[in-house]
Amino acid sequence: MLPALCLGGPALKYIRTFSVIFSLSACSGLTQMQDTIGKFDQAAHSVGTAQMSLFQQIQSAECNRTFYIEAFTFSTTSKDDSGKFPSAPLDLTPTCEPQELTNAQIAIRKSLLDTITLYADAIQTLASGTDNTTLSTNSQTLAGNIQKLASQQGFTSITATNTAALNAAVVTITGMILDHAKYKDIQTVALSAQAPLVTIVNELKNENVNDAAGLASKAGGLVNKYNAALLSSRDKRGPASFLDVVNSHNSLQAILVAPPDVTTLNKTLDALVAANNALAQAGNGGAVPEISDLISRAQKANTLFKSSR
Amino acid sequence: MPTSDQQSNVSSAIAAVRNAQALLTQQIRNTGDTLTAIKLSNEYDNLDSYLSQLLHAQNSADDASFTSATSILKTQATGLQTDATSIKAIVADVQTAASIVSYITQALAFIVRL
Repeated sequence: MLPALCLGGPALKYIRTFSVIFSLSACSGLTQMQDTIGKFDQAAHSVGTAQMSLFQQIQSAECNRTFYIEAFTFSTTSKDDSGKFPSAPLDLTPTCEPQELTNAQIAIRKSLLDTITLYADAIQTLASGTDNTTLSTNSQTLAGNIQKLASQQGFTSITATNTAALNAAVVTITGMILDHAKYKDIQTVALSAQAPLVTIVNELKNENVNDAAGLASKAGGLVNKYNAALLSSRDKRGPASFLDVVNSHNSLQAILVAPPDVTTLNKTLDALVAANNALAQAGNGGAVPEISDLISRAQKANTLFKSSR
Repeated sequence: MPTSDQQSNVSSAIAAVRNAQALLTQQIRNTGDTLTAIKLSNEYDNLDSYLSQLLHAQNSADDASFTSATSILKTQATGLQTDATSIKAIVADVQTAASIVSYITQALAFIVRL
């Protein structure tokens, strides 16, 4: 059976346009399909990687913040009436257990990402012309566990979507992954997944915006400490404090975790939804432009988040 | 399970705290006095710590952890009120001080609704 996303006629115009990205040397319908869906799957995984990088940044920033506050307290403590410094503990090699976004909470969020990547894996399997029994046992077990978590209302929503809708979305998509009978063609599956996918992506986007606020807050706190320290330096060293200013400028560039470009990440998530929608509407001209856009954005997001780690 | 309204209040409180921090940062950059900068930086950190608690609440995945997180937030609300009073005393510009306090008051109002 040829999958429903058959890129003939008008779709070929798009294919020519994006021929650099999509290798179409063997332009049989099935190969074309496999290539397109393969790119979609690859991009979905890239989005997941960028998201996980953001979560790691959040944990790292919190641990650094804890150290910088301790160091600032140590440095700004004044001598007491007896002329001695009061106790101000300073651990230069601290261990850290994040409290803002705990490992358990990251695991929950990763499950949301896994829902998306497992879905992409599943339709890639479908594009290969086999049924989803070729999905690995691990993937099926993971999908089952995520579905169970969602059935127990294990995912929470922050603003735009409500919790029940989010859990229902996860149950729907994992159900599609696990249920062989629903795998007839890509267009149908993509159409069925579209609304739940929008719900999940909206949730991730909302969380990203608030997390970015947290990261920006921590970065600002560090810069404030530098400013206070430089005022002290100027008081004591006068013009020579210029050297401290320059050193501070350089050291901040090295250690400051710049607030991540969440806008880019969120646009990549939007591109994922758009690409899936294009797969669902493939009869109207193919999904190649949307998937090309998704790939481009996913690569950009990955580069950005890797460089800002 | 936190409701959409509760989670929306968390987001609004986060925004209010960030607005207060932005004004504090502006004051730190403008002051020429080391002690004032140190005090304001400490106040900023107190707000940042509170922000972390809000984000932790946002990330809560069940009733128990959300209730625990919001309970801690409400307990610390008194501390936040104290911070507002301190900031008022440190910031020389009365209008800016009032704006910062206003943002903190807004954050507290959202937290009370949790």
